[in-house]
Amino acid sequence: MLSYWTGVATLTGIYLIATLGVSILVGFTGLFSLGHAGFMAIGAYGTALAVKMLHLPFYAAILVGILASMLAGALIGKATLRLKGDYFVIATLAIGECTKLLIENIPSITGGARGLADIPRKTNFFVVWTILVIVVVLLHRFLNAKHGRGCVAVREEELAAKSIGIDTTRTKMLSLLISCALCGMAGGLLAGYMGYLYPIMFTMAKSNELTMTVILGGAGSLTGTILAGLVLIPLPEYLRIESAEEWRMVLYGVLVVIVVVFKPSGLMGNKEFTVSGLLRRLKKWFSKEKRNGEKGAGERG
Amino acid sequence: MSCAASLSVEHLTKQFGGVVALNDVTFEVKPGEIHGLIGPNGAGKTTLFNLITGIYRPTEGDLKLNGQSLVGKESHEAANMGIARTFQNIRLFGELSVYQNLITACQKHLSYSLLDGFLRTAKYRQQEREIAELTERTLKQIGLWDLREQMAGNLPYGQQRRVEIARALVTDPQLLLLDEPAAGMNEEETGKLSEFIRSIQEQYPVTILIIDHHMDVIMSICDRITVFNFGSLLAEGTPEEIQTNEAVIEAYLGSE
Ligand SMILES: Nc1ncnc2c1ncn2[C@@H]1O[C@H](COP(=O)(O)OP(=O)(O)O)[C@@H](O)[C@H]1O
Ligand SMILES: [Mg+2]
Repeated sequence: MLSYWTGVATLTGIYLIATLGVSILVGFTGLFSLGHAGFMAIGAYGTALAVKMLHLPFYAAILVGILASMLAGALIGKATLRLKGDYFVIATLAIGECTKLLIENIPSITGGARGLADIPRKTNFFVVWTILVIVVVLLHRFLNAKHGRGCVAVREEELAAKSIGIDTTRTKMLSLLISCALCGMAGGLLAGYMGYLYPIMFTMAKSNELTMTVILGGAGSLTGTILAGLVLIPLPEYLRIESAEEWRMVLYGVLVVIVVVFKPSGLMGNKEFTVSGLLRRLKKWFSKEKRNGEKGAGERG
Repeated sequence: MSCAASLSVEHLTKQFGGVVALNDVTFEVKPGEIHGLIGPNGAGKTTLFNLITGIYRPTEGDLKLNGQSLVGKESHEAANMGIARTFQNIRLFGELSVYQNLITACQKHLSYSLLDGFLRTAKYRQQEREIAELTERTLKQIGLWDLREQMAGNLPYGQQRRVEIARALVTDPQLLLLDEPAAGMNEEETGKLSEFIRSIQEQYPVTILIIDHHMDVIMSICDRITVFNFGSLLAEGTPEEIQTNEAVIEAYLGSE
């Protein structure tokens, strides 16, 4: 039982690393993606093949996976980030689908639809969560430095970002590469944790989940992404429904509608969760309650 | 601190398809002056700003900042050469606080690398401290310090204009372009704005090129004025000269 929940926590950690990558791109830079599971797939298969074919040690192999994912990102970024319009989104969609098709259609290397098995299992809960914590710290630092602020400026108002000297194309590329690196790493960790890979682990539905978790958590909030991820990623496990995976998309759809209706900026908006912020909120809420109470009393009197 | 720049506009032409937005325009903006740019709607004033800031490329002609050509420069390159601007329809980082708007605009002063940011090296800390001081100083000078926590997009119109100007100023510009800063303001507000712009010029070594339709603002703060009409240069001179210029009076009366 314990090992079952450790497994859930480990997978949650892995997907959270990928979601944080998407958060930088979608939430902080304002570039929409519909295909980041593709970058996870590249990272996962890159890592697995580097172990199995090149006989690299696992952590060197993960580096190969990360670099492969970043290379794919650099290619679509170079081709589309300079252009106005939705070319970039379409390119992410394409990379997601093409990666999956490619994996399915070269079975001699990737095992095709039947999957790739016997990958040495070299990760565990502690490794994943240690990496996760380091990633969160680094991203927090990134966002409070020059380059991260540039990303937010691009999201907020691209022309104004240019007018204060930000090279917006470069900034978008950097953001894309960070998201690819993190998704690639999450893919590599997934390979090293599961010990096997199937192309259906990296469907478009998975891509949508990554992006939707970011939006539900609040675009532009790292803590929002983390909170949303901690709740949503392991959700099918809590619910313990046989067909939870299939219902997951329905649930995400419903959640998105609820959020759009009641809180269009997502759970946290673009604010970060802090204890002092929470206390301030509570204080405000209580004082409002009290005022309402007094008003009620006054009316009675 | 940088010093005020000169700008020369030389035989500048810009066409959008069949529309000639600017037609063979030539004039000079001298270092340190406040230079007004007026003319009826559609005269090509904003187009000139967009050409100076690299948003558009000229069809013909040249633009020079301190003698160095601006043609072919990207927007961010023009900004890094010392040109800052505001927009006719305000473009703030709306969901960020006033403070964040300014600190974001300080990126030109930061030379540390991505890695310095990740590792929070001494260089990172030193430069971040400097821009925090610069932001604080600027906000205090401009009287926005008390509003620093406010979300920029939620401020009243007049304050948003000030934030946009403050954001341009922290980039330490040599040439500041203001596109209709008084638009939508009442008489009292325009009076304050005039004072504000003059105080900028006293506090910062910067050349200012300002577009506006409020003649009280333009006439009271500008050293010299250039008048456009249908993409061409109509007149040039001091406020007194422009006020008595026959062609200008006709263009303005004729257009009304
Ligand atoms: N991006 C554009 N595409 C096509 N026409 C444009 C564009 N920008 C400006 N124009 C045209 O150029 C002319 C000058 O516009 P503009 O510079 O905005 O005038 P002003 O700022 O003096 O009111 C107008 O006729 C306008 O329609
Ligand atoms: Mg205009």
